[in-house]
Amino acid sequence: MYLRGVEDGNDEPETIAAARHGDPAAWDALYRALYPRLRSFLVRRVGPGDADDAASETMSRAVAGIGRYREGPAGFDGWVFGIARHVAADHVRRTARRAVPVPSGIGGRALDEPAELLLAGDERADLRRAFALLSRREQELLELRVIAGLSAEQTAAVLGKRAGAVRTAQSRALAHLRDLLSVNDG
Amino acid sequence: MADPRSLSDEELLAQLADSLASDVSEPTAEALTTLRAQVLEQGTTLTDRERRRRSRHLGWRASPAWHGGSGWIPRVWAGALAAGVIAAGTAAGLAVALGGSTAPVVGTVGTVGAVRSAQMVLSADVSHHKAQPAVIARDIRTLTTRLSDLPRPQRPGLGSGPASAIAAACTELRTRNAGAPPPQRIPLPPGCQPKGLPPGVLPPPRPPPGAPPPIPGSGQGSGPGSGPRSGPGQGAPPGQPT
Repeated sequence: MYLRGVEDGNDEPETIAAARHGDPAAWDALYRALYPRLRSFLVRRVGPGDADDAASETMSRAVAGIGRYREGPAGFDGWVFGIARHVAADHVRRTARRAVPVPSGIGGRALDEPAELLLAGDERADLRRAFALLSRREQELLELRVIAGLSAEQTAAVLGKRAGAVRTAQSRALAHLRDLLSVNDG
Repeated sequence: MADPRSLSDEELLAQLADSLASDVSEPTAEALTTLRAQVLEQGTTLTDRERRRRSRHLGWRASPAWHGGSGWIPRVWAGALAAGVIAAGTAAGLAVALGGSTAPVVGTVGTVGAVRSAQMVLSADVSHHKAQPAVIARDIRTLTTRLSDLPRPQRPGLGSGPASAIAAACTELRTRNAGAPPPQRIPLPPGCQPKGLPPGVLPPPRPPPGAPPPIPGSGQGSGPGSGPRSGPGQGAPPGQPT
């Protein structure tokens, strides 16, 4: 299921309140709960080699900025992923002279995983290849939805859009994805 | 796996999630340690002076791990962070100096702060002389090399940079060497050799704090003049009241 963040209850007010008061255990719990999605999101943004550092930097900024966090439609998860977007953007700016970090075609984790090459013909790989052909905006929107596990409302808050616009853009992106799958198949 | 083209939006989203997610499910122990340390750092009200005092007590015992980092703050500094004995900026400084990642703390310090912190801890640890001299020498060589590669700070007014960090490290090293018997002296890295001195020849050590200033060997003296500040006043002309 893709809405992992919501299901896991990362936005529990008690945990966040404890984190606000500098409770290391609360931050530990938040980091553990966020990490798989955060890292997956950042793998796609900055590449697998730098994703751990970027995740750590994201949490570092979250710790430093928790005093500025306010309850809102984005929720805590959305707030953290908003930070992660900035961290990724900073990273891309810093490494602008280097090659694009996300390998094209199969979505950021194939080059270091030989087994993936063996599976390159299956639907999963087809899906990743098609996904890689979406525009960056489409990719980011879908990544926030399916990897970060944010709701349409949270995604809208992170992207500075309305929830309806996010739903519409999501439908279009998925339609585009289906088109790409058809083209690849043909 | 079902054909993605025949799936509903919700099903396709779920399949995308399955296809795009990476496999790692746990942050590394180092990442968690660093985060905990930063949380503690946020909540602490230690002064810089107190941090320095505590960092001296950290010693150098774990310095062999210094070179064991693989893109992270080396384990020893993460541990020191966790123990609250050094500041986040300090760890960042060391990480920068050694070419490691500053990601866990880079949000709180910039290059300038990092270099200054590296300077601070280096000085504290060298003067604490808990390590084997060879280990210290090796680490200082690494540090000076890396610091030399750093760009000079761009922000005005902060006043510290790689050059001063290296100078401070060299000064500490010379001071330590001056008080140590020859077998325990640490070879100065190339960056410490002052111009005009052949390798192996050390400049005189710095005077200890509080020592009187050096006596100049030559020069013209100067001092206050002497003589009456005022002479007798002029009297009134004869026949006039004063």
